[in-house]
Amino acid sequence: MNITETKQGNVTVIKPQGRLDSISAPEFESRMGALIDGGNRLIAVDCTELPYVSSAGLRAFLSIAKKLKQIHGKLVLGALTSQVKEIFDLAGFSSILPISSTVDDAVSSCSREG
Amino acid sequence: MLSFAEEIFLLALDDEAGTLRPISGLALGEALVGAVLMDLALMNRIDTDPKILRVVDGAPTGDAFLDAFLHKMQQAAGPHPISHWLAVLSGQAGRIQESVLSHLIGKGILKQENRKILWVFEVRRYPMINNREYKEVKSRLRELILSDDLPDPRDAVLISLVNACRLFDVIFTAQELEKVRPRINQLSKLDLIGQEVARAVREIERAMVLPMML
Repeated sequence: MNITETKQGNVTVIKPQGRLDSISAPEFESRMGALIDGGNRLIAVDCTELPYVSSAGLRAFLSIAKKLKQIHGKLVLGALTSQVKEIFDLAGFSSILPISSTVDDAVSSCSREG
Repeated sequence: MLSFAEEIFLLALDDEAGTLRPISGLALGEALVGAVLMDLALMNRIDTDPKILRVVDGAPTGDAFLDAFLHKMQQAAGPHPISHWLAVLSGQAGRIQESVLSHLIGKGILKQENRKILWVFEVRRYPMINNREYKEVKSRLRELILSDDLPDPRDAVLISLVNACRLFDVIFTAQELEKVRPRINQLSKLDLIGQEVARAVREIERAMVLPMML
């Protein structure tokens, strides 16, 4: 999985590219953990190139969101692909994690917390 | 740290009587099989989505019992959905329960007592001799559900299993349970294996109730 990060104001935008499964989830979680430990507490995830999330990927999102919540940060996911939205809806993640329809909206939603 | 199967078994046990609470043995069996799958998932040996469960790493876990399950899944032609593995492995529920009991006795949490009723029938009980873990699990889940915190993946799994076995009345009063029910339902969905265990338990309950209605 390729993971890129950019900064938009006080929000860190993460763009994972590829499948988020048991192979890639540990690396994704570790990269996000390092960002959080480095002081980034407002994180928007650009999901435009995330075609698949398995249970391991869901667990990674849950751990990251919990870690951010504990430090009064925020994780917002933007522009979910239809396949990922389907699994988020099925597993109830859509009701516990903030999700925006576009990446810009995700960044704005994060900024409001800053 | 206790395994999921050990935690769910402790919650299913009446700590004073040392016997299982009145939940269906079949339902507990499904939950124990689900717990084994969840232990393997959190060890990154299997991965799932709504359609399939696949073995992603066949390396030994260090637990002979889990490794036997992993090996069985690895050898099978597949992949198959979670429901398939719950059905196939449910035949092993008795073995899982024996293994869980032996681990909990070995860890000094339970002891085994054999008693005779009417001098003939032998009844086995498992009184708790150290209820620290039992209390810790109960208070952790209670605190989490009463708050608006997000669960960590481990607690999300446990909540789904406890809910599938309808064991939250061990943690909450009936009045509390009514209030926290929406939150429990929300958190119980977070784990896909837990969702399948709940579905399987509901099917067992329906199958048991149906003959009584005819």
